[in-house]
Amino acid sequence: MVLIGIGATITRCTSAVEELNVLFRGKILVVARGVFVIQAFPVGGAIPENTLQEIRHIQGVKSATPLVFFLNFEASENVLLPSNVTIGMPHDSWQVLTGNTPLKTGGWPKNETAEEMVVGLSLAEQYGLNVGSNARIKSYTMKVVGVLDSRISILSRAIIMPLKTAQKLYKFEGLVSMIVVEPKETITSDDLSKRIEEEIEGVKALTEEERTDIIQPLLSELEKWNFGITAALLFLTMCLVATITFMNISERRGEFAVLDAIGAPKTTALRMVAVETVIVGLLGSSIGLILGVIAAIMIVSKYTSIPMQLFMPSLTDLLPLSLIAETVGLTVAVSCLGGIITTLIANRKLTTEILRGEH
Amino acid sequence: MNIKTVDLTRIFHVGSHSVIAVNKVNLEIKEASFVSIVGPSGSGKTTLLNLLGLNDKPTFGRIFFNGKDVLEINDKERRKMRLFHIGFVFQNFNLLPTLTSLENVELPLMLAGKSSEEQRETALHLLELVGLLHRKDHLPNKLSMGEMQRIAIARALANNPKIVIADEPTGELDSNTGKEIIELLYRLCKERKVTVIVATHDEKITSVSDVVYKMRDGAISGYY
Repeated sequence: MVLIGIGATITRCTSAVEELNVLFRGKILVVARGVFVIQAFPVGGAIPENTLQEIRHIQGVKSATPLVFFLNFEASENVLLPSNVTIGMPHDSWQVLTGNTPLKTGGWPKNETAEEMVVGLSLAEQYGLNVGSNARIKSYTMKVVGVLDSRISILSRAIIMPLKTAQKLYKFEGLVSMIVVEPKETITSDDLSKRIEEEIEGVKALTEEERTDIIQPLLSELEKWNFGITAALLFLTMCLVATITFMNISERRGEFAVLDAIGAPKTTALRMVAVETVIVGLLGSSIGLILGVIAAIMIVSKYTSIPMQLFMPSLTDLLPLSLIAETVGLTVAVSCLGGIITTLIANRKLTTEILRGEH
Repeated sequence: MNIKTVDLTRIFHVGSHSVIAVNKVNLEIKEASFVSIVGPSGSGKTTLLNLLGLNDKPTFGRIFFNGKDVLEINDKERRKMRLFHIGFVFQNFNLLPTLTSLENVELPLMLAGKSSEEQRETALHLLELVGLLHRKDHLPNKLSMGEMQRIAIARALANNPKIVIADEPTGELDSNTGKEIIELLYRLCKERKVTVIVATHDEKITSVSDVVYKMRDGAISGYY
């Protein structure tokens, strides 16, 4: 069950990537050629900032918004996964990223060079940040002016600041990670994407479909592995449950023999075992799932430096009802089946032999 | 209940060879009599008791209870016979370890479909009969050997059986406790008109028995 809990968390991480689908819907992302894009964000790579002007002059472009995107790892700890991301973008284009997501408190940075930032809710809770708080980033003191109320994992762990400020902090002057292009209604994304790639050298213009096509095989592969791991773990769990039930029932053959000797109907032992195994299965799977989720959160927390308590609000995402139902149902079924089969086998042995063996 | 056996035989097959545990046993046990079966270990006493208690089926032969061939009845009926008409007392008590004394005695009553009030009332009465009312809430592991045996007897009497079969009921008890158990079984036999069949090595039991059957190598070698 502990292992299944970990599997559930891996599934959650995969779905966090899928969540990014909601960002930049219908828009084209222009990134440096050869850069790998995870649904909405490029991993590394840069394009010159003046590419923006070239794109804006291409026919069919309604708007173009430059973004810088940095993954931040905890410097002091040996962690494998980023604990937060920094996103820099023009101070008048926040809605390109956040859409209609409201700020929980405060407002957005006022100008392009302001040393101000908006932080995601999860980050704000972790570090006790609120409007007016100061935080040191790359040796600059940044002021928190707003807290973004978003359930999307990446935005809840985001530090959003004006483009120029981000470029300065991360020594990225004159460069951007990507440009978000909105096509005019008169042109399709595919056509505009082709046109951008034709007119500007060294860039890739990815439509939403293309971005999905890039990440989908990876996600499918991950899902397959995850399914395989989960299935293997479930099988292992079932074997364990069946073995424990088998041992338990085998040890109690004496009791069943006594029941048989005093004239209990043949179904008495079966009914007893069925009820017991259902209770044990229910308790075992419930406790196992809880322990599994705690173990999974501890592991993810260790490798991301995100405090465990911040995972609690999204417990229902981590452990969806369908997974609870599947796990509990299967465990109860296996436990029950194991118990009944063992009891049937035990019942085949002569009561007199068992009672004699109890001496 | 009168019991009669005709050429009762039980053969066990162990690997390639056969062991004749009970060999053509012919018995006649009268209602409300106290019968002992004596013999050395391995002479077939326990196997014979299991056959008489309908816990086992003979390879050959017949068993009649009040003239009725009990081997003709189906498994369900045999269970009913065990539940309602036969009380079995094991040498090693075989109490259910997770149930209290009271619950162990209530068990056959529950299986017989008695109401919970009736179960409680009867079980308490039987515990009083065996002198262990004060131990009703104790688990078997908190009881002495003698107390466990008395609880086992109370359980055997729960459904007011016509036959009580006891396999070496004093085998694991000290002589004083053994004497108490013998007196209890004897009292049951005479006061409640229960047929008591006891397998034993204990001379104190044979001395109070109406009939003593001697067994050797699975066969009845004599009686007195």
